[in-house]
Amino acid sequence: MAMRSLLSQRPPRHVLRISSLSSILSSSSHSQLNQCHRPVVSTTSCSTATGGVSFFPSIRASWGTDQRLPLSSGRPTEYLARYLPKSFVVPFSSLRLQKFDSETRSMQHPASEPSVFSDNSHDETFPLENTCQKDVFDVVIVGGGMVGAAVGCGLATNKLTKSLRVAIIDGKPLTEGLYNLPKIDGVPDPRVSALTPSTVKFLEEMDAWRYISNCRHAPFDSMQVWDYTGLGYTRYNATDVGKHELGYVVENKVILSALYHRIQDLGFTSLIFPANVKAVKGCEKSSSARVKEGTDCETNNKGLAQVELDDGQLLHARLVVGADGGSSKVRTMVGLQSFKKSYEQEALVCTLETSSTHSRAWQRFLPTGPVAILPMGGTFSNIVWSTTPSQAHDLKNMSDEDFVAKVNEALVGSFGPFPSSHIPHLLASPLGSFLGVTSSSREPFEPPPHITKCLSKRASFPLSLAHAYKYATDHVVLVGDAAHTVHPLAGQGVNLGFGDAATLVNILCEGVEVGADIGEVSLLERYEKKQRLTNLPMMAIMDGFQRAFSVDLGPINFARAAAFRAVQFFSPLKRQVISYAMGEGATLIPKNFQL
Amino acid sequence: MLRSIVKRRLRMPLCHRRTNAALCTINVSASTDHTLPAQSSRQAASEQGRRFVSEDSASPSISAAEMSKFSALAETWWDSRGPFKALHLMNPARISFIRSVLCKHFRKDTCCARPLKGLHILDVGCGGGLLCEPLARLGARVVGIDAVEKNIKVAAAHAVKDPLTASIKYLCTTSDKLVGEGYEQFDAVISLEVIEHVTEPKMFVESLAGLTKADGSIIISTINRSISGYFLAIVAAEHLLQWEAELGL
Repeated sequence: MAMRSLLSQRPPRHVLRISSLSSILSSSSHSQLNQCHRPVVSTTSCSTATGGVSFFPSIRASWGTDQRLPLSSGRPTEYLARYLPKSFVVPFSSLRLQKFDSETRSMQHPASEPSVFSDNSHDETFPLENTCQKDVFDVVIVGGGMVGAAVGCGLATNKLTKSLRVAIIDGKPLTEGLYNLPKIDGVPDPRVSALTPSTVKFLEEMDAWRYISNCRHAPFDSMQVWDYTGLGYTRYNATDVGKHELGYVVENKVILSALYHRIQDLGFTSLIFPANVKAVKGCEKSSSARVKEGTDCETNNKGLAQVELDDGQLLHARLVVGADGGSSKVRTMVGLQSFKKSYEQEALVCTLETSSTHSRAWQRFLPTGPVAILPMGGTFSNIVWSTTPSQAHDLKNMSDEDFVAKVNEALVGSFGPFPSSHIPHLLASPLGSFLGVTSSSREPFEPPPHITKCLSKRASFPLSLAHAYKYATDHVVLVGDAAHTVHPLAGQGVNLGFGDAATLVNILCEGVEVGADIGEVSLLERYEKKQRLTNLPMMAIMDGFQRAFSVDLGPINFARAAAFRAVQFFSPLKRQVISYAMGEGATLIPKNFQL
Repeated sequence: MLRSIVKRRLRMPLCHRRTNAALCTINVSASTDHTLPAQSSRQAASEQGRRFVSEDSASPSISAAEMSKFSALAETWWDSRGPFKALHLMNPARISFIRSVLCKHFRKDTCCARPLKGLHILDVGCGGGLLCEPLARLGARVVGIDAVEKNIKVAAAHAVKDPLTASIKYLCTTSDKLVGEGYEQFDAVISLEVIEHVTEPKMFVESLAGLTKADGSIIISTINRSISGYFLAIVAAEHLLQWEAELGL
């Protein structure tokens, strides 16, 4: 009771809800909205909103006139109210922002909304108390980043799991620019990810890739790796393995938008709370022999995990998915230990302009760490420069021209010469192509492109190697960076996370198929076993590379050069390396259960 | 009589082959030209006031010693690594078989999360509710019965923890008593790993038939009649004897 009076003094939380299209169109109307004082966030067709440049709907908000707004700063709803125009437009497909009154805990929603609890039409003799079950979810995804959204999207795409009640919790304002995709001719955001073809296949299976492919994304079809000693280099081509691309470079917010758009288009019932998680508890372990009298059809929710938000709301969930990044709060709250090793490095990212267009990824290993240039389409490129924290700090704070000069120096200058392009005669001869030598083995070393301008702000983040000893415990599971973090030198971090998401969705489908409790540890441990087998070798290899390239000793340098040349000239090994890096694997979502 | 008996050998992965079960499905279909023995037994029971029930020898005689042995292990029913690990390992295979059979028989869409919605299912010999809860999650309305009261209490206490399974009804009774009381008839009656423990299997099956609707389905499982099943179940009976005693049988 005291808690309720406390809550009643706070302004009501606003919950962003994605409802099904039919229910919105059938039940929403101006008068009804004004009467209920409900702000409506609706999407418009693309042509009216942005002048036909973007392909996706953008959000406009309209508020009732006497709607009280939350007063604290930084809240997403305040941002919406202040910066988005107050016009109500005919929705193409609409989002509804509803008032989640924490006092009464009641949420008005259309009657036709699918819910695992409400379809009891056949239960004349077994009435379920549904009104008190509004805060019970099947899956609560803590963290609405790329991997969390991928889990939500995967659940939405599968026939078996699309009727699950899912909530995604994220503290950052999700709507800030989420559905407003960047203009294609604008400057790309420096936060990008290199997606492997297997991740792209996963996104295609969820049918989210078409949103990305209609927006800005840059395929790259070749790669050149060398180090500062100039003793060896390696070139990779997609044609070595008979493919067109080695991967795609996509901005993180484009990926996020595509996933949320797909979730929305499917009409997936999911609640997105703009809130932070305060506490996560696994289910209570109570003796199963004791039965309370009078609990005939009532439930005590003791078999569910509890998620407490920072505004006092308490959610119950069958499964809590911790997708909240490397410094995962969920992981610490449920007591899952992880091994962590800081690399004492920071990665600096920025968008640059090159003198010429290219579709090649370049990576040079310097004594302080690798510097990588990723193509972003046209003359845009993205740099990921892993270096010592002090140098990263200096690079961040110097002027644009100085920074560009530093980058050029790092790529072509001072440390050592270019590797020599001596190609063994056997490989260069026609016999080489007959023997199946890869085309990239016969290519000479090419100097990297010249950087002309720095186009965006520079950002940096610390690098570490981390791996949770256990991914899953009772009713809680970790995916993505919460379970493991790697060095970005091979661009595998988020791809491992997407692999986690795909496997978890598969396992949950299998669980739902046999009516299992999706939070049961034995089910989640199957996910963990499969992903550890994938993640640990990759992490070990990345760590091995990082250690090998951070040592500046003569013998080690020669060993590295020998390795470069071995991979460059020995084609079967190169093909294996490329296939492994591209994440070749089986289909990630069972085909017979897709929508 | 019963229209058709379909015996299917369950193909289980190696890790599940501790007790090889043969799941047997009996499709009871409506026929007007001859009466089913179950109906006759129901009529007899109602007419003569539990005469059938008094002849019933399918209700297992449980000694107090066995029950006390079991009560010590009651809490560990739901521990998937505990003494009932084999049951937990076997469960997904059993459920997927039952799911596919019921979907086929009742023409339900198998590609949805709750395909058994609208079905009334009875689980005879439910134990701790290992079968009832997945069936409830698959959408069915489930009633579970067991002769051992401790099992019922354990099952009820566990089921109440989750809203999806809180609607399961658990009764401490036997199939014959239910038939005698004229309890409702179910779309599907499932009895897994029970028939090998009853003294009069024929009467037990008749009681199951009495609880099934005219176009319903009965699913029975027991230990497989193969050499490996024999050895594993009989040889492992040194463990299982204790196991069965723990179950109260």
